[in-house]
Amino acid sequence: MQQLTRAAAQRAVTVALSIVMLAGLGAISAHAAETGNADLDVLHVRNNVYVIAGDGENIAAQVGIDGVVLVNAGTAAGTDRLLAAVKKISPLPIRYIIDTNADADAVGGNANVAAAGITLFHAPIGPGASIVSYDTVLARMAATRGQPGGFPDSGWPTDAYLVNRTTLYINGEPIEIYHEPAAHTDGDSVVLFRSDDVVFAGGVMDKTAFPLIDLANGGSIQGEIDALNHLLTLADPPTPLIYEYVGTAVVPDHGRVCDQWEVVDYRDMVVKVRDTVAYMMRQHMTLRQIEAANPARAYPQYKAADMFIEAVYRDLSAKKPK
Amino acid sequence: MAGYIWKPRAGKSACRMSFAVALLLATAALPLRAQEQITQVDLSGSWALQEDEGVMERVAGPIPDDFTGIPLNDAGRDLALDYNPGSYSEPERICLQETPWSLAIGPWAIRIWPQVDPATRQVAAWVIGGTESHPPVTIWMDGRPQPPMLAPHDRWGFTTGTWKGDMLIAYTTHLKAGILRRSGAFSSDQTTLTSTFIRHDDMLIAAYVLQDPVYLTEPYAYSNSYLRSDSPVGIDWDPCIVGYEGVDEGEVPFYLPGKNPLVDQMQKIYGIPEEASLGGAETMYPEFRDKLKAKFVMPSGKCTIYCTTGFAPPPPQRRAPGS
Repeated sequence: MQQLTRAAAQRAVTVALSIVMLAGLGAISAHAAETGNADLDVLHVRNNVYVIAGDGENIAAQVGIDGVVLVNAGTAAGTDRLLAAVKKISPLPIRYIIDTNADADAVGGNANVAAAGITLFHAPIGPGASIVSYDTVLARMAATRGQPGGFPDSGWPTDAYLVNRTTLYINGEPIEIYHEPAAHTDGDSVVLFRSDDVVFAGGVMDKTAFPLIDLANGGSIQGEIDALNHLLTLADPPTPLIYEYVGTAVVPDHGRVCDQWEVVDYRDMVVKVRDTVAYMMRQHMTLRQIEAANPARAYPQYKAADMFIEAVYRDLSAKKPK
Repeated sequence: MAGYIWKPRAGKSACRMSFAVALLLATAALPLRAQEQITQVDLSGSWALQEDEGVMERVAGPIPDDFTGIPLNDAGRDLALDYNPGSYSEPERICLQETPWSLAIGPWAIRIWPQVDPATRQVAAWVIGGTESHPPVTIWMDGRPQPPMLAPHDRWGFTTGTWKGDMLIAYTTHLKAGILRRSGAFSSDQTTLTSTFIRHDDMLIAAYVLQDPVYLTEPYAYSNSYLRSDSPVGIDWDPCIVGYEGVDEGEVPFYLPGKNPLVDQMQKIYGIPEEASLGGAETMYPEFRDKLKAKFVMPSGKCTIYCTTGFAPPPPQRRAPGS
């Protein structure tokens, strides 16, 4: 009797476990593919890295036993949705925010998101999450103090770097942060999750639009091209076994996840339009004439062509020998 | 009462039985559609391409800037005209290879095999093996959903298939931007591809319809016919390493607007005017010939390129002395 009961119990437990496992596997794979969220889309990119999209710039989340590292904090208005999305990925606290530039849709949520996190350090840095950026991002945010709509002090970077490359080692992974000195602005960072083989391009690459060259804040067309070429050195193609693997994942500022292939296409597009504008300038065409000729006509899928052409024209005009 | 004796065999048996029950439950939980995925035609085997109307497309490649019959829009034409073949020697581009569209326009025989789901014993996918420089295409038959919008596009794309009678209809999304024709026309990463496979005994027809909202004004169709082959088609594809091909890193070869030196090749060789060679939806239809007739001037001299078969003529034989 006891034998029967034990066997029956064993069977019942095994069946129950099998069912739970099957259900769990389904749930996990569904979660891995895309975590549902009413407002923000969450995509599992690779291993510990996720992308959260739908509120301005893409936001990357690297998760693990040490907590959560976010790349960008979204807009101030989107904080609640961002935190809800992060909670679905990991119950652990946000430790770091890495700002890739000083745009409002990258740093606007800094104060609120940092406040919801816990730094790895003690006071006076704590208690919220630490914020890393290039120095000029801090300077630019601080310059808004006292102005209407200015960034609150609690959202300013706590750990501004001034070198070409800085690193964090969190969740068992080296995170490399590179300064791109004159791309979208003079304060752009590109973030490489080295073990996971994912690179976050920040303002250097936008899959939905031409790059926004912010001349007033230190951006330049040559710096943008240099940054894209640097990105190509970080994003490895899957050679030699090109049909077995996909290579490094590249997360652009906006739009879907890419790889080296799309960075090459994007770099080539930017170079072609730059060179075409330069050629038209040599033909003594005015900005208006160049805009009418539309040197970006071959790329209707990318927004903000006019702004890009104007920025290229003004940048090249300023650098033209008098 | 006899003491309890643990019998490992009984344990294994219980485990097997419970797994079977779990499997049954899992199968029962599958959507009805998935259970109905029954192979209607066996496509498996090696298939040799019958080259006919596409031979010019497939072997040495078309004349540069020949876009006849491609429904390009202005943007697609601009992109095609700035194409410089040297761009494929960019070190960053050498190993990018091609999208599944190359299967349609390439010269390859194909090998098809089923991928069976061990749980359902149904065909979960049909795989068209990759060869040389085109990737294998997996046509998922198990009703799996499309990847999300944010998901990366890879060189394979994502393909699902359904049977409509005895036709397998495959639909591919998440493609990369790639070559549409080797003369310089490109498709965007918003392209979708509908492929229909029809088997008639030892013949296989593959019809492809490519749609690209960015660079085409109308669907672009292409078809291939294959004969069943007893010689197994290899399914190896080449690894790739980057070598120096004369273009430095960071260099981007392309033609500035109006500076493409090859744009008049069709005119020079065949007397075909640019309004035809530069493509557009109109050039796909037979009526367009009537429109061109008045403007067509037969080129003088002997045809030297792609005169009949698509191959360049052999070099003239040197006559033996005294002959």
